[in-house]
Amino acid sequence: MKHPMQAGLALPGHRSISTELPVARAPVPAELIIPVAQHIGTPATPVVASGDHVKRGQLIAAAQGFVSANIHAPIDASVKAIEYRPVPHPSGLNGMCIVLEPDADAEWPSPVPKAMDREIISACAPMDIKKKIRDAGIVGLGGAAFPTSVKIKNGIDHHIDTLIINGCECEPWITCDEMLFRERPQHVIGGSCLIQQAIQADKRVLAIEEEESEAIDLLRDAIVDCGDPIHLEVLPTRYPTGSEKQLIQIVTDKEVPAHGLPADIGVAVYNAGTAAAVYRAVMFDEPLISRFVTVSGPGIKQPRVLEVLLGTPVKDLIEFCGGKTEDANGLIMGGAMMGLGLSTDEVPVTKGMNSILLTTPAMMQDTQGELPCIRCGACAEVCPSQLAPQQLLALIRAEDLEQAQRWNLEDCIECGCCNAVCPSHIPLSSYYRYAKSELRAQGMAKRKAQQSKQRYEFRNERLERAKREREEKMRKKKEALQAANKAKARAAMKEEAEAAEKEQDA
Amino acid sequence: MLITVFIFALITLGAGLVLGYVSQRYKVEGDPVADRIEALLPQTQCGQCDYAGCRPYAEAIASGDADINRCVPGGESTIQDLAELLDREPIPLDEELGEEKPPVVAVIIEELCIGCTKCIQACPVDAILGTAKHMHTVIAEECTGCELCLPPCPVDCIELVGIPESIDNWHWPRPERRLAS
Repeated sequence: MKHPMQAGLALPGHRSISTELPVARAPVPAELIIPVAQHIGTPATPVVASGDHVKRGQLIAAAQGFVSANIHAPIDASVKAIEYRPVPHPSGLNGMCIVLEPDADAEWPSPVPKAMDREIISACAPMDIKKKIRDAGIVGLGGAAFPTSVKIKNGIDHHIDTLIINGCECEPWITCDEMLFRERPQHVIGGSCLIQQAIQADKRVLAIEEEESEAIDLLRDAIVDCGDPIHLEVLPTRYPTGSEKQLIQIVTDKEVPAHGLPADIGVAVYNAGTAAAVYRAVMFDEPLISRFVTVSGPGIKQPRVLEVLLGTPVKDLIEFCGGKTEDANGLIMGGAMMGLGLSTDEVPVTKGMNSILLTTPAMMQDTQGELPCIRCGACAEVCPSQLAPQQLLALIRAEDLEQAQRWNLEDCIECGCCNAVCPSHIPLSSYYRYAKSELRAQGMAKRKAQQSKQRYEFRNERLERAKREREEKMRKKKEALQAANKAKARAAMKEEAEAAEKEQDA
Repeated sequence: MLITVFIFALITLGAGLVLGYVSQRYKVEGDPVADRIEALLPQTQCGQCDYAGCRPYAEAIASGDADINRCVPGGESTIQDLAELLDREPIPLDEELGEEKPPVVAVIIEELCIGCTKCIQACPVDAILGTAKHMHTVIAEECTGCELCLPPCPVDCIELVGIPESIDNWHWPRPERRLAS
C-alpha cells in the first residue's frame, strides 16, 4: 500500500450475515429472461428465433461492433419469446429480452475442476486469450459490465506496468468476491495469469480487504501453488476502496488523469470475478452464463451468496433464500450506497448484477427532507475524487452544467459519500448523476444536429450539381440545334445558288 | 524635429506593412460569427424562422437582420445560448412563428402512400426513402421533425409522432427539492 485513502468512509461491512453459509447454486428457474443489453456499449443482436431449441453455452445474441458482448444460453432450453420485459435499469422501462424455457431435465453442469495447470496457461497466446474472452461474452463483473475484450485490447496497445486484480468488494453488504476467493481461489489466480499473459503486464497485485480474513489464507496457498510472483495487498476496509481509480491510487500512488484511462498510466484493473470468468472461458471454453450474486440485507430471511444462471428472475433468488422478512420494504440491485432501487422483483439477474439487497425502513435513515447547505465542507473532506461537492451542487442547481463540467463533474464516481455525511440531508450525488446524464443527452443532440447539417449540406450540393448538369445539357442541346439550323440554312442557300446558276445557264 | 517626424513616419510605415501582410496571410475564410451561431442552432432545417435553413438564419443573425428569437424547435434553451454568445438579453420566442414542442419524427402511413415522391423532394436532410409509384418510408434516426414533408403530401399520409421514452434515450431526472418541514 503506497497511498492510504484519507477520504471516503469507514462503513460497517455487514459481511458476516451472508458469508455464514457456503455458496449454493440457485435452482434452474421455470423461465430465464435474458436482456440483449447487459453490458456497456451496443446491445447484442438475437441470432435465434422464437421456438428454436438451444444448447447450454450456445450463442443466442451476437455482439454488435467493437464495444459489445456476446450472450449465450445458460442451459439447454427452448426459446419461448423475444419480447420486451422488465429489466434491471433505473428507468424502470422494459428492455428487449430473449425468454428461454429450460428443458424439464435441465440441470446445472457438474462443477469444473478446481486445480489449475500452469503449463497449459503458459502455452496460450495473447491473441487467443483475447479472442476467447470476446467469444465468451465476458464483461466486467464488478458492476460496470464493460466488455473485457475491449479492456484487454487497450492493455495490449499500452505498456502495462501493474495488473491489479480487484478483490475489494465495491460496497458494504456485498460479499460475492470474498466467497469466490473462498470457494475457487484457483480460478481467480489462474485468470490473473491469463490476463497478465494477454496484456504482458510487468507485475501483478491482488488487492483484498483485511475484513475478508478467511479468504486471505486460501489465496496465499493458491499463490504458492501457482508459483508466480503475485503480490497480495491486504488493504484496510474503507469505502470506496473497490472503486477502480481509488484502488489504483492506493496500490500504486499514481492518479488516473481526468478524462484518462488507467492504461494511460500503465495500470490495468480487473475484478476478481472477471478473472475467474476468463479462466473458465479459456481453459474450459465456458462462456459467461452464470455468476455469483450476494442476496443480503436486513429484509431477507436467509442471506447468502448464490451461484446463479444469468437470466434467473430476482424473485426466484429471494424465494430460495427463505423469502422476505415482514418489514422488508425495498429492493436494491448493487450495494446500499450506489445501488439502484428496483420497482419489481420480476427482473432477471444480468452479467453486471453483483448483489440484491432487501431493505427495511430502519436501514434507510434519511427520508426526512433536505435543509439548506450550511457550507460545512464535510462533503469535500470525504470525496474520494477530491472534487468540490458544494460548488458542483450550486452550479447544477443553477443549471450551469458547462461550468460544472469545468469543475470536473465527470470525475465524480457517484459513490454517495457526500450524501452520507451531509448534515442537511442533501442528496448531492443524485444531482451529479442528473447533470452527467443531462450532459450526455446534450452531447447526443449536438451530434445529431451535426449529422443533420452534413446531410442538409450534402443535399444542397447534390441539388446544385444536378441543376448545373441540367443547364449544361440544355446548353449543349441548344448549341447542337443551332449548328444544325445553320447547316440547314447553308445547304438551302447553296441549293438556291445552284438553282440560280442553272437558270442562268439555261 | 525633422528627425522625429522621420522616425515616426518610418514606424508607421513599418507597422502598416506588418499589419497589411498579416491581414492577407491569416485571412479568415467565411464568417466566424455566423459559424458559431450556426453551431448553436438545432439543424432541423425546418425554415420556421422564415429563412431557408439554419445556415441562412445564422447569417441573418450575424448581420443583424434577424432577432435571436425565431428558432422554434430550438426554443428557450437555444435563445439562451444565442443570448450568451452574442452578449444580449434573452427574449421570449416569437409567438407568431409557433410554439416550442417536444421533439417529433415523421412517420408515413404506408397503406395510404401513393408513391408520388413529393415528400422526398421536400425533405431537407434526405431522410425519406422511396421511388415513383412505390411506397416511401422515413429513416427515423435521420428525421429532424421539421414538418416540411406534410404540406406537399397529396393524400395526407404523413404523421408526426413523439419519440417514445426508451432505455436508450432515458436520462436521470432532476432531483426534486424536498425541503424539511
